[in-house]
Amino acid sequence: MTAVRQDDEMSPRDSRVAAAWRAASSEEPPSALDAAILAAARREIGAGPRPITRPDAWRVASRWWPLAAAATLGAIAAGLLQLVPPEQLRAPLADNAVVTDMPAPAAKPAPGMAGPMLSGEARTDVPTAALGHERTARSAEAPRRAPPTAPGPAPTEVRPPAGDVAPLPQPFAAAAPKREAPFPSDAPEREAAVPATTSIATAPLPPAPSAPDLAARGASRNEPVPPPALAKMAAAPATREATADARAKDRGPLPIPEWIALIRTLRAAGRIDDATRELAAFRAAHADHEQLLPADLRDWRPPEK
Amino acid sequence: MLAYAAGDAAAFDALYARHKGGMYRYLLRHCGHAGVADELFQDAWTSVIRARSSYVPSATFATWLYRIAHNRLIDHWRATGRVELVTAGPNDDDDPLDAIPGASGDEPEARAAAHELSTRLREALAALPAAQREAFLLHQEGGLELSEIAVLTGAGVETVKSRIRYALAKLRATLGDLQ
Repeated sequence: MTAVRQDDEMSPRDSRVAAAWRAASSEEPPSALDAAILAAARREIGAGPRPITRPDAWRVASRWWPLAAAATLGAIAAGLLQLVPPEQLRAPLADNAVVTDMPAPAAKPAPGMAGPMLSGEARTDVPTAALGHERTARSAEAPRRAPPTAPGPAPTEVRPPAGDVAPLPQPFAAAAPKREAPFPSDAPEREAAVPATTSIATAPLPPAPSAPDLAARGASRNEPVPPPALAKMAAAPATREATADARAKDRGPLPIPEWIALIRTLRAAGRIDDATRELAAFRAAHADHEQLLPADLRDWRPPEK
Repeated sequence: MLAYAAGDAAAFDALYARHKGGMYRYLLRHCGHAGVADELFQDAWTSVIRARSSYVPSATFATWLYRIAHNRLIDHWRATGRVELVTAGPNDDDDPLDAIPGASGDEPEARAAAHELSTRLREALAALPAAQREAFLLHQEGGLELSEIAVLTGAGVETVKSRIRYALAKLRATLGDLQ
């Protein structure tokens, strides 16, 4: 500042000459030249490298990121849907349709029955929540079982023999001989008070009945079967016995505790033929069946007819 | 200029608006031809634009800008053969502008009564030795201080001061004849 002030003081000035010069010299560059230079300056900024951390550029770029991410996810989802066969996409809907088309189950259990699960009539009275639990347990065991080879378009879910008896989970297997009914006694009343479709809607998804199931129920009850179920039943055996035989042949060996529980349950329900068949199959499947079978089954012989 | 180097186009607009008139007149008074002044003017500003990424503020922007214009003038005179001595030495008197003679037969006093003030002043300026004209124009049009002119021209401050004083005396004499 001192130097500048000294410059100012030292600088030779003549106000008269300066004013005359300002009046005489007022040329400006042509406007076309101005425009060309300013345009060149703007081009230089647009063509030159910009700072990476420029905030407005970052903001503009980040505005499109959510849209780009959504578009990418949508494209991936569409691609995956194209890869999945359409049968797999429609299968759950078909199961639901079959289940919801079923007629409402009978409200009262069969008299003199050991448990509500042991007959075709009682099977429909089992709470759907319990069925859902059973399905979960069975699906967890599915990889350990032999792959089903049942012919026809019916779902390839493993079913217990005779089509009406569900295999009991491990806790049930131990408790089955001691209890008369594995479910609370008020279950049928609850089922009677609520329509079947409602319980299906509020409970976990029950297992879809296979074609043999529908055939057995339809034949035993002589009830009208809705058209979707009839379409699946077309290739299925007509009688329950035939269904049970086919299942016993097609089904692979059960786990030992479940198999023993099944034989006991069949015997307790009075289905001696089924129990005998299962016991014979168990012995055929296990060479050391004498050590595996409990005493009551090892020494049990079906009564002579 | 730093703002423009960071990408602010408006900063360049402000710089250009502030300096375009003085720089244009500086070039025009030196070369005496509008077409050549336009060319030199555009060339100088193009150099400013291209130098934006490498600009380092070592002096005021005006000093840097008029140094560019000064160099363009030297290049122009060298190309047209008006300047034979273009190498500036350490001696203050070695400025190439000193080698440029004033316009012969353009004595301000000879035309004082017949022309308007502005015309006489331009002619008086054109009659000045180039070094005096350079110092006067940088001081008057560019608004540079003595020290800045000294740095730009490679002359000493006292030399610049005396050049300006001589230029003012001749121009004042022109005005005195008119009044």
